[in-house]
Amino acid sequence: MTSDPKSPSLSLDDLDRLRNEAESEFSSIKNDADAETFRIKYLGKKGILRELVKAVRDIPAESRPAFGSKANELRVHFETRFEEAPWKAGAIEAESASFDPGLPGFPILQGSLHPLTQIRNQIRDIFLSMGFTVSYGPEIETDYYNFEALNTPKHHPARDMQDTFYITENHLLRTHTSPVQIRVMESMKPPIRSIMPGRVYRNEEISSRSYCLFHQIEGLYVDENVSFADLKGTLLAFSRRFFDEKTKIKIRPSFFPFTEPSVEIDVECFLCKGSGCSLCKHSGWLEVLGAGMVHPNVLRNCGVDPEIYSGFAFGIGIERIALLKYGIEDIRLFYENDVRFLKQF
Amino acid sequence: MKIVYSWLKDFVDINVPVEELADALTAAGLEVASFDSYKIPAGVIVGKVLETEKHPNADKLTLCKVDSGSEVLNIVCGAPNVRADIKVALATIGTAITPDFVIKKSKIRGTESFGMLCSERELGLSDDHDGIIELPESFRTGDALSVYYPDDAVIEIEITPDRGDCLSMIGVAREVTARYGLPLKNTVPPVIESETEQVESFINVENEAPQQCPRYCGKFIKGVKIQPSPYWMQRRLKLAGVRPINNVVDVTNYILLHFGQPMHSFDYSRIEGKKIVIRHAENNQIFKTLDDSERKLLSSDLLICDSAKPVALAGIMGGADSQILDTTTDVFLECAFFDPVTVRKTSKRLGLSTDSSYRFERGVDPDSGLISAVEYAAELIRQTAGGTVAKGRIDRYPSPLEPRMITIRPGRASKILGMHFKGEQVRSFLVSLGIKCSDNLEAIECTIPLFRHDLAIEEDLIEEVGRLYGYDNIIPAEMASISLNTPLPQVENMTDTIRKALAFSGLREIITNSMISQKMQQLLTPEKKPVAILNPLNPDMALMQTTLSGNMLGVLSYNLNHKNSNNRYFEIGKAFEYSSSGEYRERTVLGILVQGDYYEKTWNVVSVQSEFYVLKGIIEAFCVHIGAGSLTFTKQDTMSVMFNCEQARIMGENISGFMGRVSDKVSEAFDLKTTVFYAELDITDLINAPSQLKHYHSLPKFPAAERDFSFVLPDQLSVSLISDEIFSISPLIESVYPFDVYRGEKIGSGQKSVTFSVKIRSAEKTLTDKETETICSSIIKRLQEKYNITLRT
Repeated sequence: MTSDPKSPSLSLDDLDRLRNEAESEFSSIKNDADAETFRIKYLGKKGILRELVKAVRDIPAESRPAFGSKANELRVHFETRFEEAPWKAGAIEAESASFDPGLPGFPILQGSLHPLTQIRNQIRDIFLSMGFTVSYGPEIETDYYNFEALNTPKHHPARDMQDTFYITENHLLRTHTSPVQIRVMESMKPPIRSIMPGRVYRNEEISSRSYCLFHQIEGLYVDENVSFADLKGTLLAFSRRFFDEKTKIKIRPSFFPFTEPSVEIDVECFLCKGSGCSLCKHSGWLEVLGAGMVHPNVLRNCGVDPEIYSGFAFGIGIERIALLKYGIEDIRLFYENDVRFLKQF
Repeated sequence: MKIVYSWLKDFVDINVPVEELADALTAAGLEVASFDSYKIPAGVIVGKVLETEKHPNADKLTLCKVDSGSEVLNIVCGAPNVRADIKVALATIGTAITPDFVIKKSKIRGTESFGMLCSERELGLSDDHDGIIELPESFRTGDALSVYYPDDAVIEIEITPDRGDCLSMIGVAREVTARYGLPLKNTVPPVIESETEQVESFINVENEAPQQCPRYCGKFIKGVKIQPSPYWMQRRLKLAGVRPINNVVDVTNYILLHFGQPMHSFDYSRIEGKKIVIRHAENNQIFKTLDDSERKLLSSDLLICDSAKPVALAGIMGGADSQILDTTTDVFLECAFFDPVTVRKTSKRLGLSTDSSYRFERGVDPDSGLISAVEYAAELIRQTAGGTVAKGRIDRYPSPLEPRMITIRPGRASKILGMHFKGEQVRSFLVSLGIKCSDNLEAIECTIPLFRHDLAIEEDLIEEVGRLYGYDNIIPAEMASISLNTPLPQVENMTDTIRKALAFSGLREIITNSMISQKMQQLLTPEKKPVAILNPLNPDMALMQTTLSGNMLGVLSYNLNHKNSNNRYFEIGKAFEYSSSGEYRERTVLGILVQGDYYEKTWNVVSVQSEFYVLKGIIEAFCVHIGAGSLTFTKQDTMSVMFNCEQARIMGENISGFMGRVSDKVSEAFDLKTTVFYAELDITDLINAPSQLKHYHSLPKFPAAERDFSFVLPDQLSVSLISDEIFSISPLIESVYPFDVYRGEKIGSGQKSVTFSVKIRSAEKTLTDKETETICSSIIKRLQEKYNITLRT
């Protein structure tokens, strides 16, 4: 039975019952619409709790003060509760329950630079910071620039070191970036400090260890008083910046027709720090570059007087460094461009 | 080159562990590729097979009674060559052939066996595993086999092309002596010769080509018996990787390895006219070398002939008609110095490289080395094959080669090496290499031994100083003076920016081959004249690419086959062709390829297909990024082979190219069953152009009026043309953007309705409605007049 405050015989018990009913309805408010219904029913101008005040008149005089005070208390109680609007908290809670930060984010497109580009640029940036500039030369070269000017005459066994693709008898695909040294020295006067990155070609069977082309970075420094100690200092500094600040280097005598003395530079294995691992074939060292003092014949071929000037040159194989740095077993991965491979860099 | 440690000791008293020796050789510039130790396991002894019988239960097994010196053992053996009376390598019970393979008493098919008879491979003597070793009768039964085959080691070194002098035991020994400060032992035992018979009475040598053959020596040995060479010689040859043949041929091979001097032995009975003539071949002359190949010669090739026919291709290979046979009794031994270039040209042209030609190409010792070689060879043949060595030797050396004189200035050495060297120090390094040095320590005059063909100039000697001092001991420079005028790497900056811009658009950079097949080149760019390779690796790489598209589409095909769907790539590479004037044209080009979804469908994104306008958007975005100015895209009505219907030419300042939807014909060639869009831009001029300063425009102070116009225009009229027209109407027009295109029944076929959003703004004031409306009317009027197009009603 619903209490009717307008009925003549309201008692304090009726107020208790009313309180319970209102309490129950209040607690079932879920949203603003429910709240509005409740407000109109109980707290509106003609709402039940307002009407109670009018009902006081019909109460016997002796019970009137107690009834009035209790009815007023009831009204204030619900007004206060209503102000607090507890159903709003519920709505946020419900919204929060459906929110899932674990869903994937908006698929922003991701591109990537080829690992060989990344390694090339890392190497380049180190030499740029040492005051080297960058020079280029053609991939279709003449025999003169690729061999002859580099002190490698025809019919010299040193030509066997590089299997060559020929275009004509006198034109070929450059087998190294060294011809750019000649072009640079022909076009400018010492001091010269330049690196020469580029693609080179070798007519070799394709395997996991070799491809018919690869990329090199050549370096050249020619000035008065450039010595082997400068070569060593420069390449030691490079190795430390590229691999590890404590990297050691080891120098072995070698042979290139266009440098004298010629050396190979081994870098302490960055993986095992020289203690021996599968990467360095348990030697503790990695072969990374060839270098030497520019051969006087090469300087002379470019019109540079070897009695006044001296210089050093070096060559780094980008693929070689990338294979080592990333522990890649097969050089062909670089040219297959499997997206699953490219994504990793 | 395989160096046998015990052989090296013939020349130098070195007794360091093989690992240490290997390191020392590498440090000297003789790079060690690998080294192996050879040790006969303890417990392997000389046994003698007394009798054999067939195993009762196995066809291929033999029951042997083997004398071990102290007892007779029953041994089961599976080798085909086992038989009574041969001496064998017997691994007795307890012998560890390897740590995991210890010989035990065993039952083989029901028969007990008390040891194993070994093959050469089992003992690490060679790779031979065809049968068991048959030891010389001279080995004493019961002796440990290691008495005859002491422990040894083989070091394989890679000799650089300049160091032909190190292609021998003596050559490597010289390096060891210099390194360790030890003397070189080089004593050749005197040849025991006939007292009466002179070599000249057996053979007459005429040298018609002294330029190509500066020195020709020979010895004659009469009455030899051809048989296998002695075991010690066979052992050394095998360790050095040379297969023993017979005593005479083995001696010449032995001398080649010992002194680095190639030799040739002729069957004297087959030298017609007792005469050797050194002369040039005739053009197109055919000569059959001892490998039974017929070789076509040129007049630049050098031949060794008898009075009637050629008998050897000088310095490369002997002839089939004069080689040593089992029946040979008299031997003529040739030992010469041939011109390196002559040998190399012939060897290269014929594709015939031998141990001999390899050494002659790099230069051998024309001096005392050659004489030692020929004398020692004759003596070794006498010792191993019997016979009598004729007295004296043939020696045709009309103009003896003079040793080179080079002056080294220790001051210059110090300057080049960046480290101070005293004159004394420089001199002592050079002396240790067998170089005679003068006493003037300011400028040391050096007499270079004739075997060091690599030492030609002062720097070569400076290298020797650096090498012996040790490059690792040179202190690296810590400072460098840097030019303050280093040119900026403009191309690098530009290409970096291009790469980054494209990667930001979601493209992956790829790097592909620059060579391509003729078929693909014809298909993709039939209009271009490609550069062909004379000696391609295979037909797929016969030409230099004229476009990046071929290899890029190849990558796409690869990825689709590997289930990598939705591909977006770019590549910066070179395209090659002949220019109209016949020059090589090498251009830097950028290829961009998109296929599949640009945005893939996800839980909150609808998919966006990679299509023409996606590719165009990528290109426009990167142009904005690099500040390349705007591009125009013009419709191409004549289709190239590469594209289908959607095809455009791209033009801009310093940049040009094309783009479009790849044609079905091309897609089929790459086995692609998907739509592909491709663009290629020549960026050569762009990356080489001076970098553009970006201009700042002050931000507008007054509001803009925005007006939309929907015009109906015929399909063939490009939207960009109309946009440009509108833009040109008033300087107050800030931007024109065609934001909607509609085709449909309401418009009529062959027409499109395009809505342009036009922004009008003055930098000086807020425009009045009237001023704005005037501009709007002139837009409508201009388009009506010029293109006969009207607003959509």
